[in-house]
Amino acid sequence: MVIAAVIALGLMTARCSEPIRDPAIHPLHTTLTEVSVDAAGAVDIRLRAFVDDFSAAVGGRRDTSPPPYTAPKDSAAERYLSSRLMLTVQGGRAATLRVTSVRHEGGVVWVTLRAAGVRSLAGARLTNTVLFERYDDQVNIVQTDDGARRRTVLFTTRDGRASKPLAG
Amino acid sequence: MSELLAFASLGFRHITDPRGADHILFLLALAAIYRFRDWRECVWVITAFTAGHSITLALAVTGSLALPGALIEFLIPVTIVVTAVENLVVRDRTVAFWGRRYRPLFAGVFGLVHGAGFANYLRSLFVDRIAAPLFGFNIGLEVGQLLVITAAFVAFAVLDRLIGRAVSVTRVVAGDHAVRIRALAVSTVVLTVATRWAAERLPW
Repeated sequence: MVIAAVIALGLMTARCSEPIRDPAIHPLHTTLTEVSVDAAGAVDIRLRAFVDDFSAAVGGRRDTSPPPYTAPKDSAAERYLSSRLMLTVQGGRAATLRVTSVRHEGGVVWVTLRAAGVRSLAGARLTNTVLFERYDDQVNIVQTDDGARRRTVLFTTRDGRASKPLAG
Repeated sequence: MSELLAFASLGFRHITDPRGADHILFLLALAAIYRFRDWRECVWVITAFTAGHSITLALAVTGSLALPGALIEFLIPVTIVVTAVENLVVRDRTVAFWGRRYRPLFAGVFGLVHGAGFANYLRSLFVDRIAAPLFGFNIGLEVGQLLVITAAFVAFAVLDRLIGRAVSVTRVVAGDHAVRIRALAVSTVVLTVATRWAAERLPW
């Protein structure tokens, strides 16, 4: 009897009030970025993000639109990432990152960037504040592979705009 | 930072995030009936939950299992409701079916549902090398869960003492009855919130 009353109370409050939170119970707000150096002496960066969040962020929208989602144009993605994904190489020189492709597959968008004239990740540092303006629990995972060793770096909103080394 | 440690950190953050009330509420519902001296039994139940969600997480991330997101989002609060109802209904576990031994079993089964919830978010991340990220993420979840349970036990101990004082004044009940009252109170709150979530997420 008591349990039935509690369940009824829960159902009534659900029907009579605003939702407690987003429909997704507890989403993981993450992006994954892979950084590597190719044989031609360029840094390749592949950023993977949820297309709804990324497209809304690039478009400067606070809320995500309903599906279907479309990937932003290369130029728009580059404009957005220019102040959020920054690479400095040995000697503190800022590397110029160019978006080479933006691909949308399922719920995920893949953005590929390239910085020419970088032969090694030694001394390189990255700033990654992608989607920080949307979620205060955003965690950006960055994985580097210099051929010999794989390294993982986490960027959280607590880090702010601080850069982190990409090589040990 | 190693890959394993990074993903363990991600799992730990996820489970201990106060906004992750679904996980925390489920853990509270699981732990609500235990006294501190029952901690081993509670750890078994929590570990069974971790084992359950590890299985579905691995299956879903590797593409062996595809589950509709809306249904999973609904079933997660349902598992919390069922656990809270079980706490309220079963008064004497010594005479209950299988004693208390069925609790790790159903925690494991419910863990399968919660793992599917994680999988919907992680599938896009674990594309190439999945073993280390998955293992690390699950270690982080387990450590986070044990931390949440430890905090819950401290809170329960305080609550038991307060209830014990209150009831000793009225001389109505004492001793283990305080634990039963605490379990009823915690389970009722959990049940109310989780029922509301379930109603909000009806998939039909």
